[in-house]
Amino acid sequence: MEQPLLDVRHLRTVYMTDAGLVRAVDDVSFDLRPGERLGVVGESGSGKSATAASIMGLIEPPGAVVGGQAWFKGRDLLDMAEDELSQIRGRDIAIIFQDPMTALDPVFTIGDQMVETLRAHLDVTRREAVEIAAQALADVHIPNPRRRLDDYPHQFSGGMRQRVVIAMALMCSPSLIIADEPTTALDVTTQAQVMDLMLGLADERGAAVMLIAHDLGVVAGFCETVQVMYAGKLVERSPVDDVYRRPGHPYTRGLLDSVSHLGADGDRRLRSIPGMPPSLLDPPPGCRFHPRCDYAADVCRAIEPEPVPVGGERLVACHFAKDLTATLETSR
Amino acid sequence: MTATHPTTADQTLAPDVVLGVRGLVKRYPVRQGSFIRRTVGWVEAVSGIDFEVRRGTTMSLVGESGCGKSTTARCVVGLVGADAGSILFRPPDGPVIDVARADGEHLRTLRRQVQIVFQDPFASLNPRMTVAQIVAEPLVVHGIGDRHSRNERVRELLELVGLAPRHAGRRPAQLSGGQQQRVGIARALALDPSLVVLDEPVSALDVSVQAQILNLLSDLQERLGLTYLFIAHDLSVVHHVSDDVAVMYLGRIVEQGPRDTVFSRPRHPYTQALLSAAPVPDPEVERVRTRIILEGDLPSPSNPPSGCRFRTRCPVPGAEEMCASEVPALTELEPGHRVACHHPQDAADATFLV
Repeated sequence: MEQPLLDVRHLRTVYMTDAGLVRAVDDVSFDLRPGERLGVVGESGSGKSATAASIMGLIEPPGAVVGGQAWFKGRDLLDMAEDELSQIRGRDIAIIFQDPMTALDPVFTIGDQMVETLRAHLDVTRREAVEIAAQALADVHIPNPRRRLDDYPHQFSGGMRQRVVIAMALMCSPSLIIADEPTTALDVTTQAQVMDLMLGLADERGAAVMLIAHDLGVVAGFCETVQVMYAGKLVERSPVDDVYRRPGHPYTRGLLDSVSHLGADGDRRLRSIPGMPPSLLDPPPGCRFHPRCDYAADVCRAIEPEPVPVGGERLVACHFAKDLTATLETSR
Repeated sequence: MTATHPTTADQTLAPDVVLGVRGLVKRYPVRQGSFIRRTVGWVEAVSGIDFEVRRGTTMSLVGESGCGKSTTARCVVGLVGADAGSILFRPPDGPVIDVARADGEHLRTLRRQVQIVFQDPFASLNPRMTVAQIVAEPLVVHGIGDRHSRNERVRELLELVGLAPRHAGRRPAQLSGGQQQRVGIARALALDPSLVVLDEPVSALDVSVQAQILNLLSDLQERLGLTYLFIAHDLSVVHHVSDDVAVMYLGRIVEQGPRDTVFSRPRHPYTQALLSAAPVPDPEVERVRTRIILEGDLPSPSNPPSGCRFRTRCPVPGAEEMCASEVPALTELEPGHRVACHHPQDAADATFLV
């Protein structure tokens, strides 16, 4: 078995709020192979973004990582000093956020920002850094890359800015790219353009990708493995075809059934999940999904299910996982 | 129906048509200067569009940011005035009203009969008011009923949109996004409208909640005989809710027709690109379909390309002089299916679809 590139064990992240302690990420474990494309899906408050931010050391007060490890190339990212971590961030691990302006400084030119990043991480001269930066912009199809280095972020359109961020993220050849809703703010044709570029470049360089998305379609098109989160817990992790064909967890199936999609009969009634996600201040006992689940039994109300293997490379956190994986099909 | 309408459109609507938009133009000034604001140019957000919505059906305007779909919605409900063209509305009883020229009794009728639901439910609800006050407000404004009958109506409306009586005393911040949107819908229905404009009503919601609201909207349409003008960027949502669809690009309609025709036999290269780019939650489909990747970025709406506005990004090889010099007219290629392109594409080649 190949060594995982990233191995997250029992991650716990909490937020201290006036109303009490919010368990945003509650005992989440998973790993990522070199070059693997993992999609992390879930609705707001599921803990998908908090998981990524925890790994990257980007949780700020009133939040805190209170437990677990995140092994990356043999070292625990959660147990690292900030200056060490900032060396890894941007070089070995690149991060792309939904809003490109979180990564770009409005008062410096794109060129200055790229050269500064390059020189902080790689042993290159200014002239060499300019070369690399111009090539990186050309790789994301920015016309006249050398001239555009002198432009400020506001002189680029939204789609172009996200391409610039991708160019910056990839220019140090990271082995892991964490992309948190990278195309959510973009129009659909621009989204296709940006995803294509990002994943093409990641493939070329053999980088693994952890793509956090709420859009099940984006994940279906671009990932090999899918991890589903609900109320701070990992409920399922499976190869992409299994997740969409034979979802292992009732929540996964509910999520798939509730999206309208182009291939389906447009007049079909959507099967929505009743109720709403629980408050993380006071999550239900046992399985957190049980109040909304068609299959809930006494055991679900009493005992929290752990993710267990259910055949192949699948992990499902449901007391009835074995029976359900054999029978659950999506309603389309 | 002919391909283009003159701006002085006739004021008649077919009996089953509730809303007829003809030659609608809306411009916004571009202003410069911090002290003395001068108008230095104009952005034409909507450049002469025509469409109709039949009674009891859903017509969707779909397109990406800057295509003019939301501006059109605002013109229809009278939140902004149109610069040219007409917006004709047929109340359930009484003569057709031109939204742009309505006053007095006609304006009152419009304000009761045409309602809007906004994208961001929280921003569209007054945080200081209770749910009951919010839902009752249109009744108070229009002087309908007394306190007792209004309370009764609020209870009825809350039940209609799937909220419990205990929600009546809460404020918007105490509700989830889906519940807030239900309040927005209840408020829109308070005056018993016949046309509801839904401006991205589910875009801000999580998918499982989206499904609840989409189902609610379709139940309400059936129960109350509502006519919907639906504004959205999400093609799968549009596919789910619509009877008819118009695809917009930079202020113009590029293709329109019955839903199944537009989605299964798109002829405009932009519609094809849009459909091919829409993610489908099915890995097998995603692996075999062809994605048309558009190069470049959306041109500035203040300086749109001459002729066909899509020509600068059009993937069809050999776009000609004609594309640059002549605005392509919306032309009927098959009954009810209109396309504005000098080189409509073959629908049989549409292998990128699902």
